[in-house]
Order: sequence, then C-alpha cells, then structure tokens
Amino acid sequence: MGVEQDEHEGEFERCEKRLKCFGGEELSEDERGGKLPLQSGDFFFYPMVPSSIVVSDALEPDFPIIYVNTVFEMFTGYRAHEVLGRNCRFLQYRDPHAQRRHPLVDPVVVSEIRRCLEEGIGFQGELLNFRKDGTPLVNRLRLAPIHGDDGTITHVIGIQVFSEAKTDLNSVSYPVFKESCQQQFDQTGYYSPKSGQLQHSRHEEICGILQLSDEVLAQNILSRLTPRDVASIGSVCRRICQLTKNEHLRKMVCQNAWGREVTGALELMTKKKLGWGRLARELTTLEAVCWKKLTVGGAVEPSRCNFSACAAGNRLVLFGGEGVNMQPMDDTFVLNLDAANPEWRRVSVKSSPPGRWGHTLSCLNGSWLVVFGGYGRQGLLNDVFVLDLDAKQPTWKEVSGGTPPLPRSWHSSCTVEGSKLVVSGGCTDAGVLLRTHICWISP
Amino acid sequence: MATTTTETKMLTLCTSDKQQFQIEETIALQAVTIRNMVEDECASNVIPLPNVNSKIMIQIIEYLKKHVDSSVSKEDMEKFDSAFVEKKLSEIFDIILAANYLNIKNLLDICCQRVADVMKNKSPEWVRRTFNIVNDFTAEEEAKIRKEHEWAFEGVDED
Repeated sequence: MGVEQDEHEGEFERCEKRLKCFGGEELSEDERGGKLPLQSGDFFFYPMVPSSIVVSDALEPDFPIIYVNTVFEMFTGYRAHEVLGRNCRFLQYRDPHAQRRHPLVDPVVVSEIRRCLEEGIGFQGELLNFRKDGTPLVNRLRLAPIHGDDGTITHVIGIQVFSEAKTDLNSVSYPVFKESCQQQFDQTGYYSPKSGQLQHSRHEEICGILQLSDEVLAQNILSRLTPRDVASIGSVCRRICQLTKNEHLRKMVCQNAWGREVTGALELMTKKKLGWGRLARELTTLEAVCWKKLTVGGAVEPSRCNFSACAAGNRLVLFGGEGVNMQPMDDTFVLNLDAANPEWRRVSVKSSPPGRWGHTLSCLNGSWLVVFGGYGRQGLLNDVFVLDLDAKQPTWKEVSGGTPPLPRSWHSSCTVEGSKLVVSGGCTDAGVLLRTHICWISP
Repeated sequence: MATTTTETKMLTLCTSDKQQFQIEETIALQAVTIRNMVEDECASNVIPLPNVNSKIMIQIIEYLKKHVDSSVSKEDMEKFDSAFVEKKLSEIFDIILAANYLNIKNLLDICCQRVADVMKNKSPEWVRRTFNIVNDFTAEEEAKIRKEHEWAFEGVDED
C-alpha cells in the first residue's frame, strides 16, 4: 500500500504543478470568476485540461469536503464556501435544490464509487455531473485514499477532469419545461412547483390532473395524444394551453404519431421554419395540398376522350382513348413532371394492345403499367397488358392464364401489394354492373 | 467493509401519515428513488417517503410485488397492468404523483396512458367536465385560441 500511496501523491503533485503554471499563464482573475471556456472543444484533450481537485475528510461521517481548488470552482460554478462541509454527491443533482440524483447519472457508477470508498481502494471512472447552473458535464473521476501514519485512511482525494457532456437531456424529463408557465400559477397561489405539493388550503379547488407537475403532464400524458388532440386540448385552460405550445412537446407528439424517420425528414424539408404546431395542422388537415395550374409542353395528339391515365412516380402516363369518329386509340404518352420543362411525349413502343376506350391503366411497382379491358373495335375486352416504362425498348406484353374477369368497360381498377390488380364493377353490353375480380400479375 | 448477505433484507418505508411498511428490499428497490436513497445514505433502514400516503403506498406495493416476480408471463403482466389502472381518475392521479416521486417508470407510464386514453378525441368542454378543470380564459382569449385550432375540433366524439 505504501508504494501505491507514493504514486498517488506523486501524481497529485504533478497535477498541482501543471495546474499552477496553467493558472498563471492562461487564466486571468476575471476568467476564473467569470465565463468559462466551456465550449471550446480543443481545450479538453486529456492532459491539457487542468484537473479539478477535491479533498474530503475520511474520518468524518459522510466524507465532507475540506478543500477544493480554483479549477473545481471554475468548472462546477460552485464557490468553495458553498461546498465545504458537504459530501461531493451534490454534483449529481441537476439543481442546487434538487432532492435526488438526476435520473441520467448512472447508478452503477455511483454504487461502484461507494464500494471503493467502503473498501478503501482507489476508483477511476466516468460520471455525469452538473454545473451549478444545471449544465451537464462529464466527470472523468479518479479517487485516491490517503493513509495516515497508522495506516487508516484519513483523506480521499478526488481528481476530476470535466468535459462537455453530449448527453441529450431532452430525452429525459425536466429540462424541457422551464418555470415559465408555472410562475403564473405561483402568482395565483394555486400551485407551487418547487415542492411539487399542493397548498392544502386550496385543495378543494384543484382538480386531480392539475396537481401533476408540468413535466408529468407534458412528457407523460400530453405526449401520448395525437397532434390533433394536443391542439384541441390547448383550449381547456391556460396552463394546458401553455404546455401545448411547447415546441419540444409538439415535436414529441408528432414523433409518436408519425415515427422518428418521418419527423426527421419533415424537419429537414422545412428547415425547422414552420414549427411543429403548423406541421401537425397541415398534415392532419392536408391543407398544404392544393391544385396548381401547370402549363406543359407537347400535346397528346390526335385529341381524344375516354382515355385512361395514371401516375407512375412523378410521371403521368396516358394510354388509348376514343378519337374522332369513335376511333379506338392504342398509343402511349408520358409527361415527366420531374423534368425542368415537362412536356407530353409519345412513347415509341414495339407493340401495342389493341386500341380501346373505357379501359383502366394502373401503375404496378414503380415503372410497370397495366391495361385492362375497355371497349375496342371488336367490342368489350378482358385482356391484360403490361409495360415496363423504364425498359430500353418499352414493349406492351399480354398477360394471360387463369380465368380472366368478364369483358367490360367503364370499370375501375387498382393495384395492391405490387403484384395484384383489382378490377371492380364496370358494365357489359347490357349495362350490368359486374362483381370485383382480383388478377395476379407478376411482371 | 462491503457486506454481502444472503438472507432476505427488509426495508421499512414510512409514509406521510407515519405508517410503516416492511417490505423486501428487492421489491422496494424497483423504485429508483428508494434505490438511490439506499445507495446514497447507508444510514438507517427506515426510509421516509413524505410524498406518499399509506392508502397509495398499499397499491404501489401491490404493483411492485407483482412486477418483481419474474415467473409472471408477459401477457399476464399486461393483464395485471390493465386491471391495475381500472381505478377512479382521482386515485390514478395520486398514484401518478407517487410513481413520479418514487421514480417507477412503468407504473408512471401505465397510469399516464390511462389518463391519455380518457382524453383521446374529446372536445375541450368534455375534458373540462371530466377532469373538473376550470376554464380560466377570458371569452376573447378562448375565442382566439379556438379559432387558431379550429381544424382540431372536427370529428371529436360526441359529448
């Protein structure tokens, strides 16, 4: 143990020396008392960082602090006179008035520290601490026991290297909700946030839910509602209104409703300018969706009616239709809306389905299109054709097999699961409405 | 100095109305606040809980006893939880206060979910009546806020 003790003391001295020269050269008196260079990243590479030192009396119960150096004062924001006589665990409390350790402080590390102190051995590890103003700090802590002449531990020296904590405190509760809205309640005497307890004289006037702290109300209850519920519930009373205006809560609500990925993408798209309240409204009511007149180049010629068109991604595809003199058409056009100047283009295809109108065109799996039925030169149709728009040489291919639905026109259809075409209704020559059929297509 | 005991360690919890509850340490330590107290203050074995009364403590112990039992299947635990929150709202709020103070995350979650479920898709008037909340807006303020959030009032459940 003797050797180890010397080692510790040696190290301690070295620290002190480094510290002194650091203190002398780098820090003026103003800087010590004033603003800390906490943000400058370069400052924190290990041996360059001045160590904060705390000495505790191991002979007194609960190891009270008997010495802290200036570096400790600088980094923690606590002055020596505020901490002497106390156990150092207050650094684990986010607020000087807090009654308990911050939930993010790792209890495993804390119990390890306690074990080492009880067993009288050194400790080395990393722990989350808080400045007096609540800023989180990572504390790379080393504890070394100092033995007296008779071998008993008389002091414990703590050497602390503080660095900025990257912890997202917002994922935990209380940092989010500042006192702002609680203060209003202080004035009315209804609610005292410090103790979290009610003032008993007013007990009857308060309903159960408003006894809860802002933290619980917002973080645990309101966050479980939908964006719409949160907007509506804001008009219940002032306090809830104030809580629902919190951007962090609104974001959390959107995240719960739409998933992290979607909210992340929305945040990027809107460059955080819109605010989550507005985004919630627009997505819930889809009010941002509106028709816009678009002038495009090219033309679908010859002109026609009763054609069928559908979207394939950002491309609009059109097939067939009824030309002049009831001429059934068999041509394919594409309007690419991604182009700088969108224009209608006829797709040159190797072969085409027979001309028709009153048919359906549906998109299948991105670039595949399906034509079904309609009215052609020979009457009603029930044939199925597919086309890969992205093929080098786009070709309509007939899909056959199985029992096809009855020939029809004026039906509707859609695709599901990328391989099924659902055909619904439509009429025969007699004008009868037909039942729904599902065809399996694997392009 | 470190002690390892194999026998069942008991803790005594003292509620705000000075009732004492003796429970096994493993059960009590599920409450993070109690765990921190035990770890930080090695001192006495009576733990004061000034923010919890005995009526609520009994229910919380019932919950903790069930949840410490690792032989209970996930489905049974869910069944227990959903039955546990079938209480009057006023009781639920008391449990929320206690669960928050004692830092029992799952208990806090299930109780808050219960409250949120009650609020879902309801009009502000309904919420005020159900939770007995006084409307403290002036008429103009309320009109303004309602106008801002007009979109949110469509299709809520009938009062």
